[in-house]
Amino acid sequence: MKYNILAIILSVFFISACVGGGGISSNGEGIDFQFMTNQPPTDELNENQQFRVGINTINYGLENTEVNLCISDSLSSWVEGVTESCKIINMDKAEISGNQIVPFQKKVYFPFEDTTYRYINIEPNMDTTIVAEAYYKFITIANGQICIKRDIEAETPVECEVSSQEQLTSNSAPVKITSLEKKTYPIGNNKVQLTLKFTVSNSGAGDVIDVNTINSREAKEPKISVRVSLKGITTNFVCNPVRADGRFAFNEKQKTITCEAPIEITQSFIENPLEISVEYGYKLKKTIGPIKLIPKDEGF
Amino acid sequence: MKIKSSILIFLVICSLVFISADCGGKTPTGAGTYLGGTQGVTLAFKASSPVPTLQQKDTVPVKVDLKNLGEFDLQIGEAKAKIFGINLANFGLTSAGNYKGTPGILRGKSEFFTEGGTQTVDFGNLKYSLPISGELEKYTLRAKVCYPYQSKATVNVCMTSANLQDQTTGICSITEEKVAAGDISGAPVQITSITQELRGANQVRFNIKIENKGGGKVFLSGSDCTKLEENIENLDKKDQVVVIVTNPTDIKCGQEDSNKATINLIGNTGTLICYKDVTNPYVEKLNINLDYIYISETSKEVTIYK
Repeated sequence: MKYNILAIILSVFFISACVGGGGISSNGEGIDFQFMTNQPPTDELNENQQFRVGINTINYGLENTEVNLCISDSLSSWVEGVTESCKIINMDKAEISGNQIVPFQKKVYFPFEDTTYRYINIEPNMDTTIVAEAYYKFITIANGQICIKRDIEAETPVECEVSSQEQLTSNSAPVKITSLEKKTYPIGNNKVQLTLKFTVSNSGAGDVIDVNTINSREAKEPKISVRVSLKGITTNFVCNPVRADGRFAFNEKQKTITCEAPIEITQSFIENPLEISVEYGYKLKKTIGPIKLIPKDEGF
Repeated sequence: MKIKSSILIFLVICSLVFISADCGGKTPTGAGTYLGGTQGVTLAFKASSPVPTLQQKDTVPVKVDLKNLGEFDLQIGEAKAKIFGINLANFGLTSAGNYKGTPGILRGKSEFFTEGGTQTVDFGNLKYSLPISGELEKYTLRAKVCYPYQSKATVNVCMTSANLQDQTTGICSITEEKVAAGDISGAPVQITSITQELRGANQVRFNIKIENKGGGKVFLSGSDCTKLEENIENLDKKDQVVVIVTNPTDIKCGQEDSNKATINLIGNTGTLICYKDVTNPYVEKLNINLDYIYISETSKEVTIYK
C-alpha cells in the first residue's frame, strides 16, 4: 500500500514538472545551417573527384524569411573547385507545437542537386576550406506589461513603482532585447514622461549587418532599426542614440538604448502592454575543412 | 409538609435568580438593534461578463454585480461603479471609465431582508482592438464602487460624574466596555469600542473608537466620486469620517465642541473624545451616526487568444 502511495506522489512530481512553465522553448535562434554529411567529404578529395556542397538550412523564426546563401572556397579558380555563388532561399516560418518550436528545414545543393564540382591542377600538400555564409533579415520582438502611475503618492492595487526593472518575453532570435528599466516623471496636465532604457545585444554566433546589404553583401556599417510601442497609446518615442531614420549603428556586441515619450493618463494608474522591436540584417558564417586535396599522380 | 417544602425551595430558587440578575449595578447591555457586520457594498464581475478567456474576434459583455451587505439603504444611482487600470480604448470600453450608477435602489440587510439587495451595472461590450503579440495576452480588468454610507450605533452608556458616585451605585457603572453585540449596524466603518471615564467634578467622558474594517478606502462624506480620482482631492478627503451624536445632543465632541465632529483615521483607526455634563445618574442610549464615502475594488483576469 505504501509503495502505491509513493508511486502516486512521484507521478504528481513528474506531471507537475512537465506541465506549466509557460514559455515556448526552442533549440535555436533565427536562421541556422549545417553542411550535410559528406557534402563535401571532410577528410580528402582526389583530383577530378566529383562532389557537391549540401547545406541544410533551418528557420527557427515565426516569420517567413528570405535567405541569401553563398558558398566559396579558399583557393583560386585555377584549381576550379567551389566557385563563389549565391542562392536566394525562401524559408517558411517555424511552427509551434504545444510549447515547443518546430523549425522549418530546407536542403540546398551547390552547384545544383544534380551537378557537381571538382578540383584540378592540384599540387602536393594542398588543402581547401569550404565557406558558407547565410545573409538574412530578422526582427526581434520583445513584449511586456508596464504600470504607469500618474500620481506618485497614489496607492495602487498592483506594484507600480516610479522606477523599476521590467520583465520582457521575446521571440527566439540572435539579437536580444533585455534589461528593461522604466522611469516615470509627472509633468502636469495629466501627463507623465515615460523613459525606457533597454539593452540590445548580439547573442548569436554571427554578425549584425546593414539590412540593405543582404543581397549585395557589401561591407557597410552594421545598423539596427528600433521601434517602441506603448500599444494603443503611442509609438512616438524619441530614442537615443538613434538617428532620424530610426536606426542606430551597432559595431559592438551590445548597446544601451534610451527612449522617451510623454504619456497622457487620465486615471491614477494604468497597466499597458509594451512592444519593443528591432530589425536588422544578420550574417552567419560556417566553414568546413581544411580538406586535404590529393593530386592525380601522388604516390605514383 | 411536603407541599410547604416544595414551595420554599421554589421561592429560594426565584430569589437566587433575581439576586444574580441585578447585583453590582452593571449598565444593561444593548438591545441588539442591528444585525451587525463589517461589509457595505461588495462588487464582483459577473462570471460570464466577461468570460475569463476569449478570442480576439470575440465581443463579450462586461458587468459587475453590486450587493449591499450592510444595513444602510442606497437610493437609485447612489452606488456607482467604473472600470479602471487599463487603457479602456484598447478594449472598446471608453465609457466604462466614467462612474455609472445603479439602475435601482440598493437595499441593505434588515430583519425582513437578510440577504441584502443586488444591482447590476452594465458597462457594454468588450472587444480587444490591438494585434496580439504571440499566442495570447493577459490582462487584469479592475472595477471599483464608490458610495455614500452610514454606520449607526445604539449603545447603552452610564451618565454619572465624580460628584454622583455615591448615587450611581446600583444604577450603572462606567468601568466596562459599552459596545455589545447588535449595537452597531452592518457597515464597513465600525464603532468598535466605547469606554467611559470621569471628567472633572460633574462630567463624564466617552472614548469612541472608530475603525475602517471593510477592506476599502474611506473618504469624507459629501465627496464627489469623480473628483476623488484627482490626486489632490483624494489626499484632501481621505480617511475622514463625520460623526454625529444624535442622542444626547448636548454632548460635546472633538475640536468642534458640538455633537458633530470629523475624525481622521490613521492606520484605519481613530478615537473621538466626547464629554457631557451630568447632574443625576441614569442609563442613557448613546445614538451615533457615522457618515462617509466608501470605495472598494475588485479585479478579474482575462486572457485574450489570437
